[in-house]
This record gives sequence, structure tokens and C-alpha cells, in this order.
Amino acid sequence: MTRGEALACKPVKNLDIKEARTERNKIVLAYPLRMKPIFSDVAKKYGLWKDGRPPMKRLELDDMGSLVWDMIDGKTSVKKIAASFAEKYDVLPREAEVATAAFLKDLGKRGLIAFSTNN
Amino acid sequence: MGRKNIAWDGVSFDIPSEFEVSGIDKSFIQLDNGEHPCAEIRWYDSGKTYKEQNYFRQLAKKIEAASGIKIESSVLPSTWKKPLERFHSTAFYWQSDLSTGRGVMFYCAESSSVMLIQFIGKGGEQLDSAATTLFETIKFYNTKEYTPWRIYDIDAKLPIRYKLDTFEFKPGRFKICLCSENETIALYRISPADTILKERTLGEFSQEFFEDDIKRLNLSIAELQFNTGSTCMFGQEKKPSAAKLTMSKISSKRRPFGQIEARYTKLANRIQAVLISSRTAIPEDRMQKIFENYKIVR
Repeated sequence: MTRGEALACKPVKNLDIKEARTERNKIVLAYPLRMKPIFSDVAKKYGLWKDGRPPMKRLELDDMGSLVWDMIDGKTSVKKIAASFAEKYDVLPREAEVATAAFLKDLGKRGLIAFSTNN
Repeated sequence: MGRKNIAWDGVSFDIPSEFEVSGIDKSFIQLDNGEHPCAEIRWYDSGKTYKEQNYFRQLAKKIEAASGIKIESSVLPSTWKKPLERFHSTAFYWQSDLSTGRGVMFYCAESSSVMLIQFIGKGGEQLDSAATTLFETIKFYNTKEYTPWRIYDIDAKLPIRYKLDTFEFKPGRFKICLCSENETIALYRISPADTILKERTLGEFSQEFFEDDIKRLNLSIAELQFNTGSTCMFGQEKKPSAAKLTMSKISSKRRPFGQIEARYTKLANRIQAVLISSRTAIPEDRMQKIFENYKIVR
């Protein structure tokens, strides 16, 4: 995948994520913790598994993370998100691309988002 | 076509404004045209005994061993001849399953430097024009009094004795660390300043950011606020201990004298900071002189 193709991808939110806002307008995400089967068995044994669902983990985003999260709608590309980020925070376009891509990659690893390549 | 200037590790050149630096190392720059890497520039000190054939043979061998790509010498493209006439040049090309490339290796006798520039891809008007611009504007600074440092939005100029030691270009945090025999100067550029300083002062931020250096150099703080921003200075109230001074005389790596200054300018929305550590007492005007030649380009 070329850099251009990667930037054209559109992040999509995982619908299982619970989203809340703090008093300071920061976003808090609650998402099911991903566990290896061996650990999930242990978690179940100790009652951490409630109503057939894995334990939830919370992630509080800062202002910059919240801006990016708000722009994830399945229609906006990584490139557009990075451009908005660069404009809002007055940083270099390439710097915004690297920061946005790294943040989205991290969200992807946690299973909070997926990437769509559909135009 | 607009152009911008890049100055890094003793070399400067112009590139089209749509090109970006996508890879960087000591004596190395990779450029990107917005889609993919399109050019690589490397340079070396060759000494006075440069032999074109030997250098080219060694280079071709190295590349073939590393990547399997065979490099062949070729005729210098006609549009490259004029801008490269001041150097001794050897053109080359290579071809792999995925891409092609062509470039030039040349020797600058004045600075005793060899430079290798290669353009990746099939070329075209954009790359040809970029090549000509680059060749026309290449300057070596190893025989000059000052070295310019112009990379991303950092623009600084320091005496030639300060050589590149380490660097870091992470989103929001850029750092270039330069060393001379007795002194180390680290230039920092931090962004976005308004967000970073939303819930704390420049002093609080600097104390956290330079925590280790403040402890190591035993620095104390003075903070000044202006309408257009603020400045925060860290200096030594006491001279370093006799033991530290003795150690600095034995080892050139020990630099017990230190100063830090951080400046926040609202207009640029950046925090610029400079850390000086030295084996000897730092002259009073040193920091001022560095900041006179350290700017953010917009």
C-alpha cells in the first residue's frame, strides 16, 4: 500500500464502543477488552466477565484525540482528518499526517476503529 | 513553480515547494513528492584524494551487495550538464522489478565532498525540473564560517564548529543537538504551543520537559510574561562543584555548565527552546546570539 492509498483510507468507528463526554468536553471511550482465550477463562472464573461480555476498558482522549475521534464518520479520509488537524492546531501538514496516522493506528490496534478503502 | 530551501548537516539546496523531506539522517535526506519517495541525497567527506572510478566502483558494489540492484554508469542527461559543470560528475542508472532510478555522483573539490543524488521513478517534467533546481542551488558549508540548519519549520544558523550529534523529529517535538569540542547546543521546537500551554504556564511546562537536565545541571528558573508570549530562563546560581569541574577537564563528555531558555511566541504558536551545556563558563550573550539566528519559518 502506498502512502497515498493509506491516506485515502476512511476510518470507521466500532459500533460496540460506548462514547461519553467529560465536563471539559473530552471524550471517554469504553470498549471491550481484548483478551487471549487463556486470560478470558481466568477473567470469567474471577467474575470479571459480566452478562457474557468481556471487561470494559476506558480511554480518555485529550483535545487533539477528541478532534480526530469526532471526525471519524466512515466518510472522511485519513488525509482530510490530518488536514483539519493541521489547520486547527497550526502544525505542519506532514507532522499532522504522522500524528494522526499514529493515533488512528493505535485506535485500530485496540479495536476501536477499522479502515475502509471504499471510495 | 515555488521552491523552498533545505539546509542540513553542512549542505543546502532548493527543492520544489510541493516536495517534503520524508527521510532524514546524518548526511542524508530523502524527498517525497506527496505520493512516494522520489529522491535521495547523500554526501560524504572524501578528503583530497578523491578518485572517481574507485568511488563509483565501491558504491556500485555496496548497492549490489545490499539490494541486488546493479548500478550502471551512463551519460549525463543534457539538462543536468550545465548546473553540474562546477563539479566532477558521473551519471548512473539502475532498474529493479519494482522501479527505476537515475542519478549522479559528483565531487566538489572546494569542500572535498562527494555527493550522491538519485531520482526514483520514471522521471517526467516535475522530476527533471526538481533535479535542475537542486543541482543549481547545492552549497557545501564545511569551509564556511556558519552552517545553516533549515528543516521543516526550523531555521537556524550556527558557527561551523557545531556538528550534528543527534536529532529527533517526532510530531510536535523537534530537536537538533549540535556539539563542538567544548559545548553542546540543543535546539527544540515544540507545537502546538497554545494547546500545550492551555492548562499550565511555560515555566511549568519547561520544568517538566527539561526535568532531567535541570537536575543534572542544578538550574534555577526565572519566568517572564509578555503580551506576545513568554520567556523562561534556567541558569546556575552557583558554580558547578570542584569535583564536576575536575571531571569535565578529564572527560570531554562532561559538560557541567548549563543554561536553558524557552520562548513561547503566540504568533508562531510554537515553543522554541535552547539548551546549552558546556565544559567552560557560558558567555553571557551566548543564548541571545543563538536566538538571534533561530527562527520558525512559516
